[in-house]
Amino acid sequence: MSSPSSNGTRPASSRSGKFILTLVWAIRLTSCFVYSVTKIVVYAEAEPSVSGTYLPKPRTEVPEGFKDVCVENGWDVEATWVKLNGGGEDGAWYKKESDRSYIYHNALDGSWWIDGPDGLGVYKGVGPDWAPMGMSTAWKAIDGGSHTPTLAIYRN
Amino acid sequence: MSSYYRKDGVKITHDPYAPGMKEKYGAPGGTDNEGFDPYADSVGAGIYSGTVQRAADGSVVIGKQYQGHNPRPGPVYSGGGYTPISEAISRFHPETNSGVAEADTTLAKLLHAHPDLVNDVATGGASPLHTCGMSRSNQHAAAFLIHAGADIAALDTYRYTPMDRMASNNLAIGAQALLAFGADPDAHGPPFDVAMDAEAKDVLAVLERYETRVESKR
Repeated sequence: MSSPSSNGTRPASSRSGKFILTLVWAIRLTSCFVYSVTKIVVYAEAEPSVSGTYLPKPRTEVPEGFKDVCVENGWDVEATWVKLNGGGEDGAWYKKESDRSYIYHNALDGSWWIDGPDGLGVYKGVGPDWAPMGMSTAWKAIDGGSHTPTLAIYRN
Repeated sequence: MSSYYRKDGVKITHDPYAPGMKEKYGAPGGTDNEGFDPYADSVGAGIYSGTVQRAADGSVVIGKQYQGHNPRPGPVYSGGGYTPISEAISRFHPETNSGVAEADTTLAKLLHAHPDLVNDVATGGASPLHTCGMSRSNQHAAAFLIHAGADIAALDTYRYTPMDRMASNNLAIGAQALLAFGADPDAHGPPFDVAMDAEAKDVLAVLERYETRVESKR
């Protein structure tokens, strides 16, 4: 195996010479530039309530558990969802097939949250807004424990 | 500093003969097989893709990394060599090359039995996709792993994505697989910088194609 190499600075001029040739490739490849997360599977032995398969939902649909928490706290459901739901591809979030657990990206704290069927957070972790993180080390348990989930992220 | 190159033509971005290197890692031919060999620019399981210590609840123990090669805290090496999925990744291309169907490879069987290993954590904070970026053979398993749910944006403890790792080792096939499934050509590094440092010409060509493609869509 090879070692991690150091990072550095790229001379801007080095890229210009190949522009014409690469443009031809670019035009050929643009037509197939389609990808998205189609399914997420959460593996969480310590929190089986959130283990399972999650499928993408549009930003226009609000998770039931999220609604419950808003109502309990006297918050406007739609306004709070619009304010907080900041991620996924096109604002997508992910609902568990078998119950109301869900995964969404919180725009305020920049974290992905895995919320249980009661709408309350179980795990969270900072990551890119277009897809949640797969490795367990990217997540923290909300209960303060050291247990963390692993996610498999399927793309088309 | 003089320029040094690995056998595969990738530029070594450190000075293997810098003061202190011999004291820390050993003389040429006398380095720790599980650690860093600055002369070959290679690392062993203690530093990358190796087994990690885990707590009773299965969580990864974070602490001092092997040889202090990466000064950041990270997964602690457990001394067990490469992880089972790292070993399976290294077998994937030889197996498929010899006629074994992808579904019958060691990697496929391992993931069938333990699907969560697709985003397993190894030394160096390496995910299986990062491990694909560690050799010319391993890169061939990248597409298979992505189909099985591997995280294309995972970060190791060097803050490298799998794309950065492919760039650092000039692995164009792996880089293409990542980009085809939406990996960000500018994520962490960006990979272009990493590839420039390593004079990774094959990956530079791949990145140029994709970056231009993305820019044309904006």
